[in-house]
Amino acid sequence: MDKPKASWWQAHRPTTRRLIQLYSALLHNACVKGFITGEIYKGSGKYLCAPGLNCYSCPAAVGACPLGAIQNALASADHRAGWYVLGIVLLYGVILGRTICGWLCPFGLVQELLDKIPTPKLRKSRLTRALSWLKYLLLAVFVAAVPLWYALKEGIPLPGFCKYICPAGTLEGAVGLLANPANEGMFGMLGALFTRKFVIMTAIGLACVFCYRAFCRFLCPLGAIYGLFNRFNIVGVKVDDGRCNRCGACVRACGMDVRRVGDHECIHCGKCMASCSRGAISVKAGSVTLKAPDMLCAGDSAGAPARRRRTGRVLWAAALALLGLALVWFNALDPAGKGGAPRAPVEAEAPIETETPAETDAPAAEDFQSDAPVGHEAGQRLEDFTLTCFDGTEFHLADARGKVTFINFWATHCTPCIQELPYFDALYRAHEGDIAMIAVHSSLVTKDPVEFLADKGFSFPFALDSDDAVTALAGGTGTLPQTVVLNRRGEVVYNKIGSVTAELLEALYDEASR
Amino acid sequence: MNKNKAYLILQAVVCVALAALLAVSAVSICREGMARRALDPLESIYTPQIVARRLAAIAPLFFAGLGLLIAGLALGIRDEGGEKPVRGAYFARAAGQPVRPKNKRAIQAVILALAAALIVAGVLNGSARDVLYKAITICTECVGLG
Repeated sequence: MDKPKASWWQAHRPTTRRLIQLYSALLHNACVKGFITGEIYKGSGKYLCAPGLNCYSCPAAVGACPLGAIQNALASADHRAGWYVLGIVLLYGVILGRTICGWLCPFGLVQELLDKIPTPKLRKSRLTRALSWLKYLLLAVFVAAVPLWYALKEGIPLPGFCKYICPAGTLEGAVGLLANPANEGMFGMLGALFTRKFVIMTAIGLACVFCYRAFCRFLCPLGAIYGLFNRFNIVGVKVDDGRCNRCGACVRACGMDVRRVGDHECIHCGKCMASCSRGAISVKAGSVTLKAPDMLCAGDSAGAPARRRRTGRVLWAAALALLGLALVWFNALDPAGKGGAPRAPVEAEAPIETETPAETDAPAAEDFQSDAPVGHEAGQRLEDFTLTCFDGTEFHLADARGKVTFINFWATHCTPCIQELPYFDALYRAHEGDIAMIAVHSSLVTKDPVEFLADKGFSFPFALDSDDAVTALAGGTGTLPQTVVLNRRGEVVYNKIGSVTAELLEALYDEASR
Repeated sequence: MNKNKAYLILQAVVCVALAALLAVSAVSICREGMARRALDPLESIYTPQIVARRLAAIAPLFFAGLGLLIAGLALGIRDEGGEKPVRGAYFARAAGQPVRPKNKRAIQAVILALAAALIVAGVLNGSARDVLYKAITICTECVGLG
């Protein structure tokens, strides 16, 4: 008699691990309204690093990316030790290790779904095992050496892996933001960098179609870090040495480049349990067995399966309740979602007075009056403001009538912002007397801007936007850098987010001078 | 060649073609945009209209691939060779060797204590706040926007 054929659903229904991966991906990205508004979540949830690789510029992300946080901690090494990130990584590493890769990482889920596309697959070999060491090289160079070198030698924060490689950042951050019509203005900043990262993301995606978890196995520095803890992690796949007969069936069946169950390449997915004829492999948390081999369960008492099912249901109910709470909190209740993003403590006196009475003796200011409506879009007149600069002088926008005005929004923790400051300085020096310029630092202060600027020798004024009031006037959302150019009547000629070049600034000056 | 293998090769070709078209489109948009920008620095390299036009050209292949994928999943087609265990001694030679150090519990306790101490130290020295500030600000260059 033929063996009854399994139904399509029985053959394709999601495993417990797949459900947990989906659950984790949703929990990592619980602020789903970000996909509608096109803005990222700015609440206190981002104090916490999420365990998996999940770009914090994804509109739905509610936690910080651990890999991005590590790079930024190293990029801040010239003024502050990143103890917090180190502690978080140690904590995740010792508790879960690469169990995070196999069960919780949202980008791991993306890779496994790509692997589901039916194509001929590249099987593991000595070559793939050799390639798996590449991620340690990327970890050493792009995650550690590049940020450290730029921080200590150039004073520039440069997250090398995020900027040059990370496909999660391109997919979730860049493409995630660009996909929203509200961010149409962001297209203006795209160029060679985006093209390069898009091509890298496409190549990695294609590799994942033909090779199981190609990014995770060969390129992911976060997996490399967690792999270092695989010998000590508390939760994961464990082998009972008493039962194991060293047949190697588990290693041969594994899709990863492991040579032993639980080594630095093992993602503790538990697929090897089915291949073990001795029932030697189980998923454990310390001494507590989370998932036992079927053959060991067969000898359990009559009530044991029902007990396990009941426990499973209770755990799933608790997990779903947590997810429901997270969705409600991050999408409806969190004050950050209602415009109440956490503010930096004011580290410098920087009073702001909007609509300052124009007590100015600027020559022929009346000739430059504008009837344009107040706003931040091109053609509108930017509302007047006053900022106290770091050198003690005051910058009144009203006084800038008759001059071409450049307002640059920047921060010490923003790499492109720092790289473009010399262009602004050169423009200011070239047109001194006919140009008004101010660089406005974001309220989010990670490094004292006055100290940072001390030895730079810039000739134009800098100020701190302590309560983001000027940023709000310019329609800024905290995305940096942002440049606003006003003509002699104070009307907006250019207001865009993204890096600028010396040529663009000169062209903008010509445009605004007309 | 059986039907299963033919399907797998067809799907592979579609995937490669789709990825190649996406990459080539991005590169050509960039090159054309750079040429425009060389004449006028105020020109945008990418615009929603240009991107939409390029995506529309790729869309038929994408939907063909999607249809093929759905059909393949519904028919249960997969690379059976890819599911089989690997052969050869290389991946099984070390299989039985334990990976756990003898003093594992002590190491775990030390790392946990160290992690807790570092997290507290990080909250006190402001590095936790740095994580928040970086995470709530979009650094355009860091995510590959430009």
